[in-house]
Amino acid sequence: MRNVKQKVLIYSLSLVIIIVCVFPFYWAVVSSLKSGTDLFKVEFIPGNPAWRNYLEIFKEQPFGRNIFNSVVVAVGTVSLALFLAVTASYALGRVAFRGRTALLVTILAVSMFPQVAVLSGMFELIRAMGLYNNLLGLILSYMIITLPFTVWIMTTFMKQLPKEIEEAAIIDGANTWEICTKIFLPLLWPALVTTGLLAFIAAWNEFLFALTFTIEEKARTVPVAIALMTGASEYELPWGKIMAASVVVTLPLITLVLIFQRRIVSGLTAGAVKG
Amino acid sequence: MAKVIFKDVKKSFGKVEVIHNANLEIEDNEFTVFVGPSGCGKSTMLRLLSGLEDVTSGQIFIGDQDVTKLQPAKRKIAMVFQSYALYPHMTVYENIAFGLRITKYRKDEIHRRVMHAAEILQLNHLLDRQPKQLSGGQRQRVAIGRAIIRDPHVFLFDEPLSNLDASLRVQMRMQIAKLKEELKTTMIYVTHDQTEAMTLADKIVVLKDGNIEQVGKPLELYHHPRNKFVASFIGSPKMNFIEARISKIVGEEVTLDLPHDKNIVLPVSLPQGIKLEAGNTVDIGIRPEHITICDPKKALFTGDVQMVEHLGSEILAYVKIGWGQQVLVRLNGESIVKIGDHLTLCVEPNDCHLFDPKSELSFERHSKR
Repeated sequence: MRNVKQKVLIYSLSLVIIIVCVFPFYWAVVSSLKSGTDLFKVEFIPGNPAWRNYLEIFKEQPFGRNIFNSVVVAVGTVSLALFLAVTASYALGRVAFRGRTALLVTILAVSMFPQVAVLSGMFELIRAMGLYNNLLGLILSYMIITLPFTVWIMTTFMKQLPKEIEEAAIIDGANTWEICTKIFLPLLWPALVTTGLLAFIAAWNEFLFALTFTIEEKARTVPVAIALMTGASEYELPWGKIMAASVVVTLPLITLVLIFQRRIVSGLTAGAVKG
Repeated sequence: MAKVIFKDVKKSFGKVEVIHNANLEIEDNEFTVFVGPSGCGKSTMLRLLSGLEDVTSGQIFIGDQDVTKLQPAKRKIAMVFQSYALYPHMTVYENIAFGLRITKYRKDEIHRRVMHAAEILQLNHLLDRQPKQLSGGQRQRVAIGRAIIRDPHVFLFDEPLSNLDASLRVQMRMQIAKLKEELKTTMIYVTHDQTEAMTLADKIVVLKDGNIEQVGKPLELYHHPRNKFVASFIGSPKMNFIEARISKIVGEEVTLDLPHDKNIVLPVSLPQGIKLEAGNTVDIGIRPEHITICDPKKALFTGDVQMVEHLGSEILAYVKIGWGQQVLVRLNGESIVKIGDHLTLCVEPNDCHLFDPKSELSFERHSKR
């Protein structure tokens, strides 16, 4: 009897959690299929789905361009951040030098600054470099924000790799670059996927910098574009279209996470048990 | 294929000096074993030679070349690690080939050499496996294969067998002995296991606290240990040390008083620079295998058995012999001994070692062995 009770409890609690997590997204999907006054009716499955919301977001503004921008910025940020993080973590994790711990703590401290605190400074930097209203400016600023986190995580993973493997490679005649790329990188693959995906999501969702550092519609990324969508009059918020856009930009993330799901899990537990 | 020379080598980690002025010559094609308790500096010596650590002062030569400042890869050495250190993401073939790929050998040449190494180590059927699919002994063979393929002038083994279980260890020990015959290369082997040292070595280097205590052939160390440490480290079970009082010294003969009013005359002479006279205490060293049960009239030691260990082929008996001392006796497996038995024990004077208790140096023995 106790067993059955326990199972019922576990499953009903899981159900509650799933509903709380999934319902907002479900509601977004439902709302994206409504237009006009339908929005104010409570319907769990829309009677006549308004697919045109999905078409209109691409017609009335350069939303395709915005998605492309987001992809460029996110991919650029991730590749740049991972490259720098791997090279930095090799130094921080495997080379003994004076002030290494101090440097690591500084990096951690930097990642705790709120974005708003660095916003004005970053704005000046971006302008001075002539990257205002330019995707490169966004890539640079996102990279600065994600780098401390990425470096910190990669350093932890790098430290866990056994020293003998590195020494064996040294004796085999590999130089530092070859050790990094041919020995460490394949072993760090799960960690790379995990940190890379987190950095990707952060860059994909970022709003404040994207709003501040761009002016034209063509240069905007998805979160800004969605926030600045307008309806027919200034008194109408086009919820249907906003929801449709949100669904469109969430799908790539979900796909990515599903593809790399197993990698993430193994990345989060790698090194926990000697294997 | 090369001589190895350590000349006035010192190594410090921070302020702690771990190798104090090591001077050592290893002949071409010699199998040398560095042995000592943990923390004695034997692995550090190997790492200095490999170039993974830099010397603080002094020079290291391989062949005729001064390699002190040379990169590890340019020293023409290969190393086998205790933890195998295989590249986990590569197959056995790739693991063995990696060193040659890095140094840009031709593909067919790499293939030929990998196959040759695999043949020597019987790895042919495992070439496609990944390290995680191999047993400990197989992994160690891959690690050795990775060393062979580089065709090194000097092979370095850093405790290669300590991660294996006992039966596998004996098997791998034989394989390494075979390898030594096949490759005819200078090999240096680090271990804390004196059995490995005794069975494999042409030359043993005993280290303690960063000092070289003695260098010599296995039997030389067994029969003529330079000091008490070497005497106790080489040989298993350990040598017994018994305190005794000098009753007189006449020329090259020392007479000693033993418990229960016995005495013994040993044909030895004092180590250089040591002065001892009648009344001083010295340590007699006797190996457990040299003590026998004999006629009570001839007995040097008598006492009651405190404990007995039956090992099948042999019996180890702990006997209390007076003056609060105990000796370990190694007896034939068929002997009948039990706790509480009174034993009368004999030793040949030729099998006794004498040590100065202060300097721990051994007295020179004038025996046939």
